[in-house]
Amino acid sequence: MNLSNHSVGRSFSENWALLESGLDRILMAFQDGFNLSGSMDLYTTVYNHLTQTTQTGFSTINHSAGRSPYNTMRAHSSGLGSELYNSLQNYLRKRLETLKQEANAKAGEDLMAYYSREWLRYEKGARYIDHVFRYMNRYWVRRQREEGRNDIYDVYTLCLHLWNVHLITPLKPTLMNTVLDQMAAKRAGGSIHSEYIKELANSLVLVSIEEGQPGKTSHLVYHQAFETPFLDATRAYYQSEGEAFRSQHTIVEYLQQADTWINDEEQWCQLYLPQVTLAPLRKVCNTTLIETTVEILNREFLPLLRKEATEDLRRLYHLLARLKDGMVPLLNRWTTPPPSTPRAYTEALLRVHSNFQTLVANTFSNDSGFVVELDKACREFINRNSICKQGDSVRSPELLARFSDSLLRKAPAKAAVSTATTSGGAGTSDDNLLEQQLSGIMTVFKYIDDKDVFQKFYSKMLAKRLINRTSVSEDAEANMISKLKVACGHEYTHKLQRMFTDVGLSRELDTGFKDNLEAEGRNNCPDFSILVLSTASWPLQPPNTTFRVPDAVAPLYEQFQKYYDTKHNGRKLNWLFQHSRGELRARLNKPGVKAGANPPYLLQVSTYQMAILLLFNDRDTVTFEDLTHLTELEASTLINSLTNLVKSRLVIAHHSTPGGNALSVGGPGSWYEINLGFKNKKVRVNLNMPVKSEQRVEAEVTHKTVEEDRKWLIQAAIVRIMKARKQMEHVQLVNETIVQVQSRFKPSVASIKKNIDILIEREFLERSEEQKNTLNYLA
Amino acid sequence: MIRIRTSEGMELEVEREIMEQSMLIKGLLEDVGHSNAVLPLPNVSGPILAKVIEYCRHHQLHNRRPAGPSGSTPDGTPARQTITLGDWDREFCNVDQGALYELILAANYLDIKPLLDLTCLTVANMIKGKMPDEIRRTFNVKNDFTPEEEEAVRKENEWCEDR
Repeated sequence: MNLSNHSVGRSFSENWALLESGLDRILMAFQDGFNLSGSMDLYTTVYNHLTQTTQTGFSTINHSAGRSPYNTMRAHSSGLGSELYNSLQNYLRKRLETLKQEANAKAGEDLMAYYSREWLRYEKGARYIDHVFRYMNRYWVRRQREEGRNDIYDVYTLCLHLWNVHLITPLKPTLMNTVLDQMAAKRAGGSIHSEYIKELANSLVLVSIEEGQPGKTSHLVYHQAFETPFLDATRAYYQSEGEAFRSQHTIVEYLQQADTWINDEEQWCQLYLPQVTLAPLRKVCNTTLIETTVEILNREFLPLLRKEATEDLRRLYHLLARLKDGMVPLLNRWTTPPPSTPRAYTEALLRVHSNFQTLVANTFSNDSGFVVELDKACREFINRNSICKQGDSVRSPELLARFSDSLLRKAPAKAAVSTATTSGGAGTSDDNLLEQQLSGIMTVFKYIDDKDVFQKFYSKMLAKRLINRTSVSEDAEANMISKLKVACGHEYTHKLQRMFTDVGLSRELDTGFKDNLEAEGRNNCPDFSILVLSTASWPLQPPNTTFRVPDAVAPLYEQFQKYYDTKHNGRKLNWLFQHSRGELRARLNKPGVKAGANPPYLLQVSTYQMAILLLFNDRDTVTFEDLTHLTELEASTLINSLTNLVKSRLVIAHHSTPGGNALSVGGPGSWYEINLGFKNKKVRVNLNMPVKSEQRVEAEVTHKTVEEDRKWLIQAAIVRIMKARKQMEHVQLVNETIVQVQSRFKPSVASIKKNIDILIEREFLERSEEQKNTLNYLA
Repeated sequence: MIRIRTSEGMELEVEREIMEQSMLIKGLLEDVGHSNAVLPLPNVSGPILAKVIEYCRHHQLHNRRPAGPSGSTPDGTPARQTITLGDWDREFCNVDQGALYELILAANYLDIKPLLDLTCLTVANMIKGKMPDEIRRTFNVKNDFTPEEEEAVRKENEWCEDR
């Protein structure tokens, strides 16, 4: 048998007869199997047909006469290709028409079964045919398409295309009605042949041929013919069913039902429908089953939580988590109204956190998805709850810092002044409790966006604790700082650590100075201690008032100044009198009363108050004008210092105008008298209390310095980035800057842009001349 | 392993992976699945098939880009580059013209693009830089133009000649 020439030189009709019987075998007698030599015969027939030439004797290479590549090319552009293509197309049309005739005689599930069976066979056959006609695809079809013949497809696509035209288009309405009927039956609990639906959907996807890009589906036919009616029907079904169910059952039962429904739908969809439908189907389920009842579900949350009905909670969570922002109202519900005192606030946040954490741990076995979800939700409610919305300042970090301060600060000696802030008696809490509370703070701290604000407030309050020596213990302080260091790195706590070093150094300085005094033989000085603190690390401002050091301590003041100058040449000392304090022993006796009847009081006062009180050593009364003159204090500072003295009735105020309150400080023209009959239950009296108004101003100032510091942080980040990159696009620069500083706070794009402008003005950067939105670094 | 029958009816066994460099065979085997049936190649003779297998085996081992015009100039037109063939490739194509054409046809028939590129390139290199008469001699083409026709063709193509 001379196989090599079996189809050479045959006429087209002879070749076609051979191919047609092959096609019949592929499409209709598939089950009889198909062998390699059969395929090879068909391929060779196509090949020989397309490579034959009408002209013989053109080439002189005898072995391959008439089939040189050159002739092949001629053949491709000749009618040989289109002859074959058209014959194939006609053959397929005829075949599909037969199938349609048969389909028209069927309906309902029969039709579905018929369709899916025929489709499976046809699609597989199409792939065979495609391989058999591969040679035509490779040359003739490709050339035709290159010449702009978009109506000519490769054989596989042609098969799909014809299937769409001859079967899908006429049968679509009947098929889809059947599908929807079946879906309704399935949802009502009946059993159906889902595979039929699967095959139908699959065929619709495959025939959605992207224009100009065969082999890529556009899903167009599928969307129009299947997905849209399917989703519409689903929506309608669950709208009415959901409502009906809710009206007859409890919410808990509804939770279960909705959960089941959604799971069923999703599972079925994943098994039988194309991937693309899952997302829209989810949306349909979410809107009809969850969104409509989100209010009711939210209301149900607290009761369920109280009952610890974890299974139901789990369902509720599942359902709500499907919605965007579904968890936010839930969390807000839990926290409203959040208390505004630092301790209660922090504890409320912690309670929410630990509650949900246990929930996540117990109910969802710490599934990473839920942990992430919880973190996201926590960040949201810690940074943006109703308390934080008051004003534009960032309250969360401030309150957190205040709470940590209250934990680390000794409770004031006087019980009467311990405010709500410290009512828990933080000073008495044992180490374990303290440790627990500090860890709690760190838990919340992790979620804080504006970590720099926390740092500001914390360092401010730490400074106060160190200056006033009110720290609970050094261990506790060090513990907290190491915790912060772990969370935020060395740089974040650097300054805090420096503050401790300064305090230690000052202690040495103190002893050195005292030894020095003794060596000089001056033992009659008042007791004295000092803190020398570096300006860079401490959040302290120089005093905004002038002050004349009272005569009683002036020698000491000068002595120390001299001592320090000899010790550290070239260092400048700024005296922060507003943070200084002293103790006075006051022997107050009314004239005529036996001396010693009234015990000497130990008055704890600020340096300013000390200066005022020392004046009364020489006189009984003093006018406001004399006070300003003798202490050289600013009027506002003077009034603030006087206020506590007057309030405690140690000093009696006399107003120039009649009717002035004896317990309030007057302005110019008023005069003051020492109360010789001063009585207090305690011997040690603390008069050095911060005035409320001072505190508020302080908080505001702190917030303002935060703003200022952020500016530097942003600018430093920008310069760092640009120094490395030299040239960068604006948008990219903004993004990088956000990445760099977000460990401290969340910068706004506007503020970054502003700082870029500042840097351009200061000639660190310039806008590129060629590209408008590109920036150059100027070294 | 698959069994192949050549045009002479000779049967031989080849590793499946090697023959799957032919897109034709790869596709057909996919359709049929595992089969012990003989694959007839009625258009390929034994000696040529041996050459094809030699190429495929080498190509699979060395798996390097075959010679062939690749890449394009910046303005999008195909680069008119001179491709230097590797030693192995050149040696492989060092066969008589008849065999070379058989190889081209086999590569085309079996759909082995790298081999088709290599063999066509070899022919192209045989044509390059030759006068029409030389080309006719090389390929044993009879000059069936009348002198008038030849003049007309030359005039038509005058623009592309180097001067």
